[in-house]
Amino acid sequence: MKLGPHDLGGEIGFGPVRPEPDEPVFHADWERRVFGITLAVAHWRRWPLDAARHQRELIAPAEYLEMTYYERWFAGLTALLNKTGFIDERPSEPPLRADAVSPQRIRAAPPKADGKPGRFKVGDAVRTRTFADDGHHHRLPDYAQAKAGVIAALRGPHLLPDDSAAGLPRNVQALYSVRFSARALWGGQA
Amino acid sequence: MAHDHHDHDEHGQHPPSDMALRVKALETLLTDQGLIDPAAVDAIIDTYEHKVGPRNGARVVARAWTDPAFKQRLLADGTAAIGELGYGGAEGYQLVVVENTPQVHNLVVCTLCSCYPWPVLGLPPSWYKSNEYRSRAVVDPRGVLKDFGVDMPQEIEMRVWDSTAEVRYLVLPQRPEGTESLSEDDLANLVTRDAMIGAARL
Repeated sequence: MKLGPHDLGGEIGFGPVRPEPDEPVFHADWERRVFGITLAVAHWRRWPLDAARHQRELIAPAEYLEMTYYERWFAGLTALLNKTGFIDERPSEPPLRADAVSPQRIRAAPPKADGKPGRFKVGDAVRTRTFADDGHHHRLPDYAQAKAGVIAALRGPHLLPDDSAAGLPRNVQALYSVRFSARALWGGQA
Repeated sequence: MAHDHHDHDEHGQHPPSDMALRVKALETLLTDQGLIDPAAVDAIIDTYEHKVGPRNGARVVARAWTDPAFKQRLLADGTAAIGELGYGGAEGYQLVVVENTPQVHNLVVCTLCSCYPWPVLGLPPSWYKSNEYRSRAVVDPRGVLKDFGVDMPQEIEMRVWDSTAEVRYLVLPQRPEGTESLSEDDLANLVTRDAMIGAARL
């Protein structure tokens, strides 16, 4: 089933893609600030990135579809700040300093995930599972659920985002890239 | 929710929009709490608005076109290879480079959000994050390429990579014909952001 309003793969009715020529990185100053603030807050690692993604996915469907990108970021950030109570904290250490900003410091590498290799190898035929509409953070889109595919690549051990987003204990899983034919996903029309 | 794509509040000619006021209020609150330093916020913005962008990826592509050993390393371990050029960090901790060939054309999307290889391309354009692209790229990639003015022949296999997990993808476009005499810098200037997503051919 669909994971939420964000599960857009294969949805119809949105019309053509309309690229904006010479588009600026940000369309308004408030977008810049939302971007910068979100990453500055993330420096505290009060919640994992998976939780931040999940919070945006919890925006009511009609609103989610209508919002612009940084409106979603703002809605997700304020909801998390309130939900966790972090909005009321006054840390004893100083916040991230300007001279400490770099791409590596902005978001540190994900925690090392050591795990035994998964049971699949490249070339194995697999069938994906389904997910119920359970309000959790899953990363298998509806269009790829319950489909026949082939293991295309092994991507190593990773923390399962579903559990990370929910604050559950570390759950290291083997990550795979699975290849599906268009016909398998969409039927004879593809 | 108000849409204010063409906000003019930077010049003070119009009253600040609803979003501008709300964001300002949040930034003030977080600053007063000691949770953020506005100067650090400025530095974060500056990094991804001005310092990190598609010119990085263009250099990676040009290097791959001119240095076959680098290209092998790039295809084997994208993260390590771009690290040789000093690129890395957020949203690039597992970079996979997928190569366009005369038989195969790659297209990258994130249907669930906006996952994108920041270290080599900077921040994604609006179209990449749009409902239109996220919905159509996986089901009608040739139609999407038509929206970009690209006619993809039916004989070419299209592979669409949905970045739903920790992996980030960069498309290595084919080197255009007649460029044998160009320097690496000149080659980099040929490489467009859209080609490194797969939405253009060079």
